[in-house]
Order: sequence, then structure tokens, then C-alpha cells
Amino acid sequence: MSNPPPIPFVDLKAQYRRLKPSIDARIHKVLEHGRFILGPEVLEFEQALSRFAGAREAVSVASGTEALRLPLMAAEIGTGDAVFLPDFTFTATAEVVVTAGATPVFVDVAMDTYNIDPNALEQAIADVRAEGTLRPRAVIAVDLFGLAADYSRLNATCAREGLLLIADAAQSFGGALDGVRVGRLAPVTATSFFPSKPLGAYGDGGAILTDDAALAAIYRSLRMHGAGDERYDIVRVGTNARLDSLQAAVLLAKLDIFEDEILARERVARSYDQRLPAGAVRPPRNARANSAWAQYCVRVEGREQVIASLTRQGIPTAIHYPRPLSAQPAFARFTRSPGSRPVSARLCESIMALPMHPYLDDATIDRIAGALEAAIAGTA
Amino acid sequence: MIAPVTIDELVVRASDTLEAAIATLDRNAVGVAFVVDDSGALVGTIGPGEIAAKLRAGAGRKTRVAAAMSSAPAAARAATPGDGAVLPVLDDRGRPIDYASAGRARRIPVAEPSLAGNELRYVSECVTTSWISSQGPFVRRFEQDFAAKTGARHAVAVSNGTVALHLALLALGVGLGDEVIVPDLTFAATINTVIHAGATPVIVDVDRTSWNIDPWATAAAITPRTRAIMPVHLYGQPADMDALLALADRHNLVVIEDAAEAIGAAYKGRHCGTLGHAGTFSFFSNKLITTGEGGMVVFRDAEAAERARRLRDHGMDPARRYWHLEVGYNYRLTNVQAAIGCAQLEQLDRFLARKLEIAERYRRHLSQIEGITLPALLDGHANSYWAFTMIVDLDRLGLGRDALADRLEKARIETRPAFYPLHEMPPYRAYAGNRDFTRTNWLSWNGISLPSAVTLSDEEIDYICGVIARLFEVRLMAREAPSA
Repeated sequence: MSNPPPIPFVDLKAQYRRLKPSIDARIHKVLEHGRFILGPEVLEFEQALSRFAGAREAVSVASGTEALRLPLMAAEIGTGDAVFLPDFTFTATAEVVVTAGATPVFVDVAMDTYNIDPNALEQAIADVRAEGTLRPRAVIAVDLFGLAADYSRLNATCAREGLLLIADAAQSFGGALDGVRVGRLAPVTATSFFPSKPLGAYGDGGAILTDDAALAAIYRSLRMHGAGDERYDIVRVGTNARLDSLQAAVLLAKLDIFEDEILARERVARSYDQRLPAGAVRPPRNARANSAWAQYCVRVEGREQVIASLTRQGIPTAIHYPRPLSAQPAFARFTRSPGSRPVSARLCESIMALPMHPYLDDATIDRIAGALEAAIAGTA
Repeated sequence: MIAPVTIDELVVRASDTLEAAIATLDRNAVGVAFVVDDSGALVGTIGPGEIAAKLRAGAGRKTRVAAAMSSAPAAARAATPGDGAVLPVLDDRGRPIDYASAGRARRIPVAEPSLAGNELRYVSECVTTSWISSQGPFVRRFEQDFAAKTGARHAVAVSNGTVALHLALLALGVGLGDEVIVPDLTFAATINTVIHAGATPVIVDVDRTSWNIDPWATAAAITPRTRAIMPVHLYGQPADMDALLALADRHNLVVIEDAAEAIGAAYKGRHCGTLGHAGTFSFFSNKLITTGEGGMVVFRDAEAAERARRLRDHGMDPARRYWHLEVGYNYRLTNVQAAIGCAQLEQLDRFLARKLEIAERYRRHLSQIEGITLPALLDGHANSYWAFTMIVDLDRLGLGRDALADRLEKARIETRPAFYPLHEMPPYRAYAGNRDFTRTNWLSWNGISLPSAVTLSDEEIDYICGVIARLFEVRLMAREAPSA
């Protein structure tokens, strides 16, 4: 028997087939006018993005990581400052803190959202204040796998504690909480256009969203080497973090169908919820939130054997994330009280991402579900 | 009920094959068979040890029993429960007509109260003073002593563990329209009381390690209507209270701990039942301490405790007899029961110490057997081992839970199966949603509680473990013996 064709984890080709005329035309236009840096597409994209999210300002940047880094630079967060972030997330969230010279404080996540636990956050802030060696300055909340964090609590906590709240919406752009789109849930929102993201470019890209025009002006300056009103008038130490025109052109084409794709992702997630076998713990949902479904992650027992079996059956998987940040060697020196983040640790042992994109059909989901059932039962 | 092993189930012929001997040993559960010649006279004995030795020496299934048996007929040596000795009773022609064994002398019960303290003295006091109803000094004393012993703030004695749960729900205002999350693996009283209170139970799966309500499944089941979580500390193993309390705190829920089986158990140094908003205990006769029937509900909050006291007594205004403030119940404990409770409480430490010794002894014997899962040793969880329960793996051991229970019963050892999953029983199916219950199913179908009474002797534990070990040994032989 010949093996069925392998299933792609993210099917960018299907999307390209759908958008080919508009993407090709937009790329061609950039090649025609030749303004590859900060060309008209960049401005047009920023305006479209700001309209989509409902945020007053959208500042496009070179990557999701830069989108996290610039707000820290603008707030002059550095040595002696504490920045609180979830223990269960991608490394970029923490690395921007360390490269800024500040100290990351890893906070456990909640088991019903996989996002930073607001109670644990309050405890961590109190602990840092009691210890007295670091100054609490900011919180970076991550909307893991596309599900928005508990911003009503986080905003209240940060307002009370005088901390800057940055939403790391790298995976949640396109989602919403209580009917408010991601981009307006926190004072500052950072997102990513990495190709596999719900809104993905054909290369790296990111954006910062905020209602604060003065802050946005600083971000625009920082992404352009700290330039003032005049290009060679350097008013602050900046960096090079611009989104290029080609990526903006691609994103503009994709933004046209983004809302439709988010709905399709929700449909895929529901289909998974219904079809997957018992023994695969479904991702958390929140009645108040619309997830952008960047990832569909289940929890399984005996994950390594399950993954090996799925691989044999042509089903790709990914582990987001195999260890909590506090257990990564690079962050060892920042890890306070190791072992005190049980939820993150448990998630890392059992979490597993399944193929997720808007063009996944029910027949394929059935095949994945069947393969997973066999993998869990140990029969394939 | 299964009859003890008869003499016929203990006899094989010298001319029979080892296969037949293995089958006899597998059925009779006592670990030995009497070998007789063609006239029926005893010529030897055979057990798993002899067969294993013969198989190692190259024998197969078809080898004759005569070649493997110990030819010396069992000597009339003293039988102690520990060595599982079985002695034949012979007629005048040397034929076995009956047998004697320590296991036969007493059926080892799964649970049995110990009433060797001041019980009789205190009860006599009730009788001589005529305080035999629910008024009387022992009720108050029992509540106070219990609170002091467990560290509970407010303790209210009630007529049993089930109404303790009902009262906890009522006193905390849980009722119509509220959802209460309960574990799938528990005694039915947990869910029944939720329904009695008018609330809607939401059944969730348990954790594979602690066998208690899974905080992850709980988290996933929380809706805007959720009012309470009811963790059960099953068999004396504490539930994952930190995770549950954190969830409850964030979602503004009350936590009612069903600690019916967990008197003496502690989570991170705090007595089970005293960590949540309310906790309930049972003093049914199989519990660590007993009042025959009886229960206790403890509260974090004084106001809730006051409400519980009122509801316990028909909703009557404590300051105004026969004036009812709300619709209440008669859930009172009697002074006689409380008297027994006070005497039992005095012995709690000793009972608990014995439970831990029993568990330790079981663990020492049974941890050798691959295919048996013992109660997990978890950091911060002080298990009271109310019922020593294990999970048997049919695939590994070749003997399922029910078959094991039948054979142990033949060896006069009483056991209890784990509870059925709530979600499978008709009255509760509607409360299961489409949630996953894989782990409860596994535990429910493979879990078995061994005798755990504080009256159980070390010799009896050794006997029980010996029987189990020999059963599995024989099973393995039955599967693996060479065919020739």
C-alpha cells in the first residue's frame, strides 16, 4: 500500500493559489516604482492595519521581535528593571528583555488559558517589590496560540502598579476579546507577520499598535536609527527595524481576505474539537474571546511516542514549547525559585501542535484524527 | 458471594500434566495443590515453586505432576497466616477430605471499626445521664475536638457524610442555576447532593496520578454559571488543592472538599477539608474514625457555619424555639454518636499511624510486581491511605481486576472494586457533556481496594500479598510454559 501524501503543517501554497493575481500585481508594482524601503505600500499597509484593529496608530517593523523590543527601548527599560512575562512562551518574549539589559521575571500560566496567570503575576510583582533589588517596570502578556490573555485583569493590575503593559500578540492578531479586536486590548500591542502566522508575510515582519500618537512617533523614530524630523537628525539611539515595501505589498493582499481566513481557522478548530479522539485534550477556549488560532495545540500523554507514530503516518506536528523559559539554559541566571511554575512545566511535557491553516478540510482533519487515535492507542 | 475453596479444587492426580496443575493453582488461589495417586491417597504437594523449578529444568506443559511434586506429604506444621500454609485433613486411607488454613479461619474484611477505646464508657455516660438525642454535651465536645484536631475554624456535626455535603452546598448558597464541577470517579453521594441542592453537576475526568479531580479538566469546564468545585480526596489521597484554589480564586468559585475518605490526610501540611470554603467528613463504620453513621462539615467562614447549624435544626431561630427562619432539615448527630466520635477521635493518631504502616507494608510487597500501579507518592500530599487501592494491568498480569477479586475472595480476602464512572450511570449521564473520561474509565475498571482496616495484622498483609504474588506467578506460567 502506498502511503497517503504527507499533510503540510501550514499550507501557504493554497493561500497563494487563492491570492495569486493580487499578490503578483502588488509585488510587480513595488518592482516598478523601486521604493523598497518605506515605499507607499508601507504607509498604505499601516493605515489598513490601523483600520482593521481599530487602533489609532500602527507602526510596521522588521519582525515580531522588533515589535516587542521597540516599546521597551521607548520606555527606556534597562538595567535594574524587572519585566514580567509568562514562563510558557516563545523565547523572543524574554530575549528582548535581556537584550535591553533588564531582568525577565517568569510567571506561571493559568491552566484554563495557557496565558499568564493574573494572580501569579500579582504575587510575582509583590515578591519583587518586597525583595527590593529590582524595579518593576513592565508586563509582557502573551496571547498564546491565538487566545487573548485576561486583559481586564492585566490592565487593572498594571494601572495600579504603574507598569507598562505590552500585549505580545504575535499569535493572536485577528482575534478579539469581549468584542474588542486584538490591538486595542492593551496600551501597546506587538504582533508578528512571520510567514506561518495567521497574517503572514513572505519573510519577517511585525507591527506595533497603540492609541498613543506620541509613542507611535517614537517607535517610528526608533525603527529608523532614532531619526528626528530630519532624516540625519539623530535625536535618540535607534536601530534599523523597518518593514520593507515588498512585505507590506504581500500583507496588503493578504489583509483583504484575513477576516475570512480567521473564520476559516475557527471552523477548522471546531472541526478538530469534534473529530479528535478522547485522550487528546482540546485547547482552552474562552466564551468571551475569539481566538485567531495561530496554533491548534492538544495535550496528550506519552507525547514522544504519539509524535513518532504520527510522523510515521505522515502527520506533521510541532512542540510549542518543549521547556518553560525558566528552564532554558540561556535564562538560568534569571530564574528565581525554579520548580514553582507547575502549570508551565506540565504543559511543556504534554503539549503538541497539529497542522493548522485556513485551508484544512474535514477529510484531512478526519485523517489526522484517525492517525492520532491510533497513535494514542499505540496501534500505529 | 463466592464460596471458599473446596477440597476438590485443591486436588490433582500424580498422573495429570503440569498444565492441569497450573490450571488448578490458577483457580484455587491458595498457591498449593494436593497430589493424589490413582487410589486418591495423598502422595505429595505441588505449588508454583515446584513447577517453576521443573520448567527451568526443561520440562513442558505435558510433563507429569509426579515428576515435579514434592513427594513428602505436607507435614503437620503450624500454619501462620503469613506463610499461606494449607494443611490436608486425611481419611483413614490417606485420602484428603478437607483442609485447614489460616485464611479459612477468618475472612479478612476490607474495613472494620476498632472500638477499643473509651467508646463504651462515653456511651454509658449518655445512657446514665439520659442524654441520648441530639442535645447533650458530647455533640459540642465532638465538634470542638474535631476542629482542634484538624485545624478547622468552624465544625458542625451532622448525621452522615452525605448530608454534610448537602449542608455545605446550602450554607454556601449553591443552588438552582449554579453549576458545580465534580470528579467522575467518586462515591455517588458527591453528585447526588449537588442535584439535591438544585444545582447542576458538571462531571469531569480525574488525574492519572492522584486519581482525583483533574484541575485541567476542571479549568476547561468552567462556564459563567459555575459556582463551585467539589474535589474529592479519594481513598485518602489529597487532591491538587493549589491548582483548584487558584482556579476558584480567579473565577470567584467556592471550593467544597469532599474529605469523607480523607480524615487524617493533609495537603502541604493542612488537613484535607480545611483548605476550601467548606469541607465534609464521614464517620460511617468503614471510615478512619466512626460514629456508626455520622458526619461533619467544616467552614472557613463563621456566617456559613451559623447558617449550617440553623439548617441542620429545621431552619429554626436558635434564639426563638419553633420560630423558623428558613426551610431547614433534621441533619443532627445524636449525643450517643458524638460520644463514640469523641472516643474515636482520641485514637485518631494511632489509627492513622497504623494505616500508614499498612500502606508501607503493602507497598514493600507489591511494588515488586510489574503491572501493579500503587497510590502515587506526591510531594506535599500526605495520604491517609483510608483504603489501600491499586490498579492492576490486565495485559501485563494476565489477570483482570474482577478475576483477581474473585480469586482473593476464594482465599477469604475481601476487596472492593473502584467506583463506577459517574458518567456511565443512567441518573448522571446527562451531566457528562461530551467530555473525555479516559482516565476515570481506566481507573474504574482496573482499580481494586485491598483490606485496609486498622485491625489488619502484619501477618494478614503478608498473606494477602503472598496470595496475589502467587496468583500472578501462576498466570505467567500458564501463558509462558513450553508446550512440549
